[in-house]
Amino acid sequence: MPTAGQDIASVIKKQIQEFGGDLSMVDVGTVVEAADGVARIHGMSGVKYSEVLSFPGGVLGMALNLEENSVGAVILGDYLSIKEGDEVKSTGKIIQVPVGDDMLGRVLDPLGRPIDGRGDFSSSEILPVEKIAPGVVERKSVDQPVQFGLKIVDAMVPVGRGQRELVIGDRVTGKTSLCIDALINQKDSEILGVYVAIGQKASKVAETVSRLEENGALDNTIVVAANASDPAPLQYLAPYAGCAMAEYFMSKGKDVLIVYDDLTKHAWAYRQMSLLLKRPPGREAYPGDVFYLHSRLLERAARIDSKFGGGSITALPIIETQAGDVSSYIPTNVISITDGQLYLEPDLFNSGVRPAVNSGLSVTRVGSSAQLKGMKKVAGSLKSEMAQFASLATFAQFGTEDLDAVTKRQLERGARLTEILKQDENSPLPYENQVCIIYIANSGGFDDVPVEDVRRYESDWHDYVNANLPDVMSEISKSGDISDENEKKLTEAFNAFKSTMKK
Amino acid sequence: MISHLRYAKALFELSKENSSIENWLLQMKEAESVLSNEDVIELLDSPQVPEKVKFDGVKTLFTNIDILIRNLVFLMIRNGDVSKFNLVIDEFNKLVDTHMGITRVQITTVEKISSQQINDIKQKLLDVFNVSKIEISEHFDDNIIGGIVIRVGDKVIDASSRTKIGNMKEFLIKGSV
Repeated sequence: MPTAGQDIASVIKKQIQEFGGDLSMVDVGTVVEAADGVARIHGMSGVKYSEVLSFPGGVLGMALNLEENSVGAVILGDYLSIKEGDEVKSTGKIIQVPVGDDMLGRVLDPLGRPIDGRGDFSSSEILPVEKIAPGVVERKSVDQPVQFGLKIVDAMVPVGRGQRELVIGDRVTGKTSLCIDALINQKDSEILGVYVAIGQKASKVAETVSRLEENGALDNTIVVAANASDPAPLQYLAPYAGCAMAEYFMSKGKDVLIVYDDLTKHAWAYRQMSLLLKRPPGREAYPGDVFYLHSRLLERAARIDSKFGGGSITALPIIETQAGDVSSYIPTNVISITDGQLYLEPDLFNSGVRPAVNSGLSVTRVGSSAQLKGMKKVAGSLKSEMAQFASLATFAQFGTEDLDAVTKRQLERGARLTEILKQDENSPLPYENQVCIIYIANSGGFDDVPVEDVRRYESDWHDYVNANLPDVMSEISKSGDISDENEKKLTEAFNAFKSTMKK
Repeated sequence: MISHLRYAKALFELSKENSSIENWLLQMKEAESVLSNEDVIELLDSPQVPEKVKFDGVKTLFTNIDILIRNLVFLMIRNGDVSKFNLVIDEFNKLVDTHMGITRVQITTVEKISSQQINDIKQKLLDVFNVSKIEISEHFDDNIIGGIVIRVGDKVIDASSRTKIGNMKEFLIKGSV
């Protein structure tokens, strides 16, 4: 690449010397029909499936329908300039993206072109966008956690490296926020991030990027964006391109967390493409391969055995439901592909429980085997306690005076645990602090604190414990476990802390 | 609706069986001159006109054309595919070319090139494509600025100055072609 002055001169010199040196034969065709971002091309008998085509004016396309007399192609860019009779050249390349370390911290389009106005970057490799997922032999079961920094997720619905955890919920229930929090929490960990925005408002993407930047997490995150105004084929490519970039890091033995925001819009984009390419529509007008569309993408999330170089890709696909309908076509498809889901509820969100994760309906199929020992110990009874609270809470709406003491105690405890599990945006909590607050809450430490004071107590307690018991905290952090001795120390410290708060 | 490729292939097989390929090639040209008239095609394609009228019309127009070619037109009328007749002819010509080992090459230059140069190109292409016979048709186009563009079916060898300058421009901007 010509970067310095003398380089350009030498490049031109070489070009002049070799002017017309290499000649190659290319397949060409003629546009016979172009509309709505798809083109029908006559000729091109030698073109391959998903080969990149070059239209006049530098617009790229992708050959998809290889038919007897023509080729159906989608146009990856401005399709208004393409007209009937234009000559189309095949490039001999299957659709591919540049990958490399320099792409961290950048915002790119699905073809790997920068769209953040910060100029070019040097890529170390070029990888095909579509790749078959790793096979059984290369894989290893999930046994290491991804820390979200969110108490409710890390304690109750833990996610492991290589897992595919669906984030599902209605609009404005904090799906994106939860995933961004998970990415922000990786800023000091060794896990790299890829955020793929599909069919979203450009303003929302800009907001997300600035949120990552303000919290210092953009430097180890790649953002791949195909916004609502971009052609449907680009939106279709975005998650595969993002995954290819993540696979580059995985092949280097690194761990990657990738967020697909969101796959509902991805399915819409694919539906649009398929209908325009005249593929037969099926249920809800989606084409027949809409299941494979997502299953082949999510299968690429994997944890690779160290014999094959290690590394992992953890996928967080997002699905937006309409009016809480998780049983419609795309949500059920993706639920069946993933290893569990985080179910976000508008009722919880509106009543101030944020993150609005419904712990009863959220599931993790493999994550609990990756949960660290200490967390497993303290969170064990949390789930049953919360489930009992949820069933009693509906019952207790009619008044609590006549209830027996045990039930009352459970209600009081549940209300305090709910408060403890609330957490603000952009404030991930370190593992050791999570373990110790959940331990205290579970052992009844907050039972005599008024419900409305619990969150104030909690934030002061984190400062208190970090300042006064640094050795205990670092021990929990290092070993991942909490010893009986440390439990005792924490209980004593919390009682001392409470007496200072009451003064 | 049957693809024009099927008609052309069937017709070609028939012409081979009757060993009258060259004769049919001429007759197809004649049929094409009749059926290239838009009004004729519209009449033959119209569902309002009775089939008998169409057939009688074709019979009077195709006086000294082989009965099998006439039958092809009848068949295409019955299937509602007669508007594809010109495509069938193109495909038929291609099949005949392949059968006779002829490769058609289109050469585009800015100015006329000498017959010696054409011969050189011919020799080179015979090697490259490994064929026995090449028929060259010349075209002239100012837009390519200089050099030559050779087109063989769907394949193009582009040695025009326009493309070279374009590649150079792209290289200088992006650092790669």
